[in-house]
Amino acid sequence: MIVLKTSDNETFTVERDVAERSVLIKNMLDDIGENSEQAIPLPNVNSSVLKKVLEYCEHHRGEPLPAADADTSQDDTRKRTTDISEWDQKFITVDQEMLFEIILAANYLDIKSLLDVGCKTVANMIKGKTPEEIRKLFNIVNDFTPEEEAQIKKENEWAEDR
Amino acid sequence: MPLIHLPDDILFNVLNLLSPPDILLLRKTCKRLQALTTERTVWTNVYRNPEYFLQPGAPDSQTVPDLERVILHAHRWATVWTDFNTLRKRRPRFSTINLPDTRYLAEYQGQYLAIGTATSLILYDLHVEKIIYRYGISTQPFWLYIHSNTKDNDAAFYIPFARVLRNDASTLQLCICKVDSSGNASIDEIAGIQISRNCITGIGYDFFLAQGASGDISLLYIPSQKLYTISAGTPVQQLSNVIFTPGYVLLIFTEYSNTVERKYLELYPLPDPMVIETGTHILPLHCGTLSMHFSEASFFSTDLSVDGNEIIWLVVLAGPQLCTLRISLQPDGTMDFHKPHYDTHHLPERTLAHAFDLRFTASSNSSRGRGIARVATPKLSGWLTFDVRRSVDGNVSIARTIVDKDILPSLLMYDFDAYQGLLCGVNDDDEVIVLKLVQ
Repeated sequence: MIVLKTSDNETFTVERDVAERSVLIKNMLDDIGENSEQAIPLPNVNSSVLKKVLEYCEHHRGEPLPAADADTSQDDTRKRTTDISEWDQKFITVDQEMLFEIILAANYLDIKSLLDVGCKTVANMIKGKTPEEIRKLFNIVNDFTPEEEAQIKKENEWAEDR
Repeated sequence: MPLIHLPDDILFNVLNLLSPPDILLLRKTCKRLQALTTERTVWTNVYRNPEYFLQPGAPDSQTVPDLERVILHAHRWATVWTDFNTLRKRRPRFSTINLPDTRYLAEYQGQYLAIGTATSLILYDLHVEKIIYRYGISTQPFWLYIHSNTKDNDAAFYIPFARVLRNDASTLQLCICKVDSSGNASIDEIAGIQISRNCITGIGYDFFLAQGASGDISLLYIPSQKLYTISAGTPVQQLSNVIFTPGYVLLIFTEYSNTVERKYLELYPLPDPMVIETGTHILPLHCGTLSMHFSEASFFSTDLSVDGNEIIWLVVLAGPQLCTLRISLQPDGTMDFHKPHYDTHHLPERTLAHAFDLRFTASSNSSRGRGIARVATPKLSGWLTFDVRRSVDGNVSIARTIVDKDILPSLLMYDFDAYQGLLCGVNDDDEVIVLKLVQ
């Protein structure tokens, strides 16, 4: 069993193969050796997010991890699909705040499949929306001056649907 | 924490999952996303999306706005290509060029159209929609190709064509119209190639090949006009297909005996024109025999087998079916064939359908190809489109769609640009029409 310690000083005890879904934790464990009892500090993740992340790792335990040397950029473009499995879909149905926290945690902990699920979810939220709808959905402040806005409109005129 | 406070690399990840129109809309939301969506890496990433069928050429040389334009076009074209029904709602842009007695035409890079009429050879610029060159010949050009050169810096492209000699209607003179980068054209008559009206010809990699009236096969290197002779190894004289592949030209001879269709395939190396003298006889490197019916064949890709033998993939059109033929070149000069289990009777309704006049374009990375063919039966007339994909494990899948003439008009003869989404041809009313399938 492995002990993980979050930014808000909570500890989680998990089985090694669950924790090792995170490449970061796996590398740390490899470095400190087999029999360390020490808690692994995760200063960038709080307990509510880690709880969620571990739920994901638990569900996907035993699945093959992507090879470390795989050409991921090529892989991404080859599978430019935003399909998400049913379980993952349910799992990621959280508020925006939590969604972004999960994405950041997945990025920090290096859990590629979870990062993908998060990014796909954001992409699906953006798809097919107008700029105004996107601003509203993500609380984005329109920081263009009217002149800049007119300029962008002009520059992108060719791309408008005719 | 709001979306726009996520770090760049995560937002790039998200952008990678979006379609070009969505990326462009995102640009209009705020300054941060505007800056991110103008990054070159976003567009070079989209450029590698295999869904898009893009003209070969590195994206490095293009500016970001140019890349965006090219990619948005490719995106729109991919949408039409996967579902031609979208053209019902949004009719393709349509223009007509009024030229009487058009006999042949060929399109080049979405910009030029070479048209052979009963009285002249015409070069038409599709961008400015004007005739930019007209070569009046009182005799009839009988076929026409347009082809870009790869090595000659003087010319932008060549248009080989043939015309009837003044005092001898049975023999034809091969001519090459050379067009430079500023659109100026000049005509060369090529002596030494005797061609007949129905002879089989082919063009690729700056070479032109024709079987003459006497059965002799000549290979011309167009830029320096060096002429080589092909010494066929087969006693069968009827050449049926000419297929240029990187480094080679593959000739297919067809013989029918007792309803069996027999193909003789011969692979010749393309001579290096800097080294090999004019008049040299070119001998085949590999030969093979195959019993299989197909009418048209086109190059798809090459690769190496596990034991290091070179493999050439063709797509062949047999009735309404397009299938792949794998040719493995053996060290002893023979060929091994792997033909798929195709069954033309498998398609009950379409059994009578006949596809012909195939235009097939293979992508530069050898993994995809797009083809289109005319199809005509008593019940049906229109087009067949083929989307061919080769996966990493070597499996080839072919998707076939019938597009009826309500969507794409029937054309008597045509040319198709698989990169640009451009269909040009001559209709029943003897008009040259140009259909831009992408807005």
